[in-house]
Amino acid sequence: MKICVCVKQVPDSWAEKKLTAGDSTLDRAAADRVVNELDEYAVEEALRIVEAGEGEVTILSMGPDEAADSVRKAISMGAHAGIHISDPALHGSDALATSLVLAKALEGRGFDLIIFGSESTDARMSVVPAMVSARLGLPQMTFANKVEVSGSTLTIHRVTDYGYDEVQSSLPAVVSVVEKTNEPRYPSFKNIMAAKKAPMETLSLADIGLDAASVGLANAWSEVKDFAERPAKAKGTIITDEGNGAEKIEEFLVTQKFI
Amino acid sequence: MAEVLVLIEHSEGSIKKVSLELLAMAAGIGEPSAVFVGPGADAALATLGDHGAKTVYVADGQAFLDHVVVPTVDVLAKLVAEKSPAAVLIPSSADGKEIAGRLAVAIDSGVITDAVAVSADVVATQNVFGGATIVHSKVSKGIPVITVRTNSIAPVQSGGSATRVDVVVEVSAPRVQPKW
Repeated sequence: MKICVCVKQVPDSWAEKKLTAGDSTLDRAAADRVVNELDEYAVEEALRIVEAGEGEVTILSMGPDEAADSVRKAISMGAHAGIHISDPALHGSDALATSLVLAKALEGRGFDLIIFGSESTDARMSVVPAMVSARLGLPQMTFANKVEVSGSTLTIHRVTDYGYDEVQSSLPAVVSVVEKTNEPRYPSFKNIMAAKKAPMETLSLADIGLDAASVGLANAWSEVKDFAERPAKAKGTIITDEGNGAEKIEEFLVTQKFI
Repeated sequence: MAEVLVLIEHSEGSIKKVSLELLAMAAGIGEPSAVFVGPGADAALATLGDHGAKTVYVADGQAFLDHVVVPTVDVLAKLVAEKSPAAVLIPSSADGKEIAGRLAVAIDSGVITDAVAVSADVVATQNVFGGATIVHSKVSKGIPVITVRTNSIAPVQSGGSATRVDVVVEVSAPRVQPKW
């Protein structure tokens, strides 16, 4: 079983996140950089599948040079190898470009499973796993809170608004796992040392057969026109009950579209 | 006026409120057309018309019950190719976002998620970073695919009625033998 886990380096979940004034892209220097929390569930799931049978887990990430740290960090949970796609031309890439790059990097490598976290804590779009699945023409087995591989059949519980659907597909497939699917492990000392020596491929756009005209800010499929900090919260409304308190509250809830 | 496609989210024909909100939003951009996938369209037709849909495209069949996301994308991709709408609005649910993502790949168009408003010239407003930053963005390539959050706009009853148009698509099964 060959598994690839796609991870993203993001600003620390608890840090204040900002956009850059010049080009409206994420200000990566404004906060500590960490492995996207939800991707840790994906790494854990991959390790469990491999440990229950046999196989190898590879970590794949697209991101600036610093993102190599996050690939190593993810490997130190117990994965075996890393692939880092880094190219100055990738700056400002949108989800369509990101999915294109990941799909190109994955093509031809013979992975049985490609696992993602269900969203990143910065962009929160939740679209890249579905896009990669569409680009590779592989079954989309996303929003899973249970993943089971039996022979060449994959079964997941896809979380929905009303509970879950049991969905089945053949392998290879693209999977995304939701938060709390499992309990991600802490890297052991042994694995941290092993991660330093784990094989890591650092690839440019040219290495994966793409040219700069299909990625990056200037070629994005959508653009940010402008952005602004949300104005400070105004003082809340205080309702004094003069016999009509309930009506006033109802009125307030209606104007705020709560009811 | 160009059509605006609105994907109707429903549970076996019972329409979710967000779908009616999206019809109201679509009316601010162009002529709202509902896209109803799966069983239950007959019962929904009057409500959709009453909330501003001029046309209801209906695609029903076993494929929509047996598979997640992909058949709906096939329906929307076909309609986009035929109608060249001004935009496609989709509820910002887990399914909705994935449908939007795959549709964007299929029709090679930009996608914006979690909009809370969309202007007449299809500029979307998003509250990002937990609401700390307000962003205005626009799709620059292809036909805008936008997912919209629940409770962004109030539904509007127009008292109109909608015409049902049936859509037949060949559902694209994922390749069993992939290219490696």
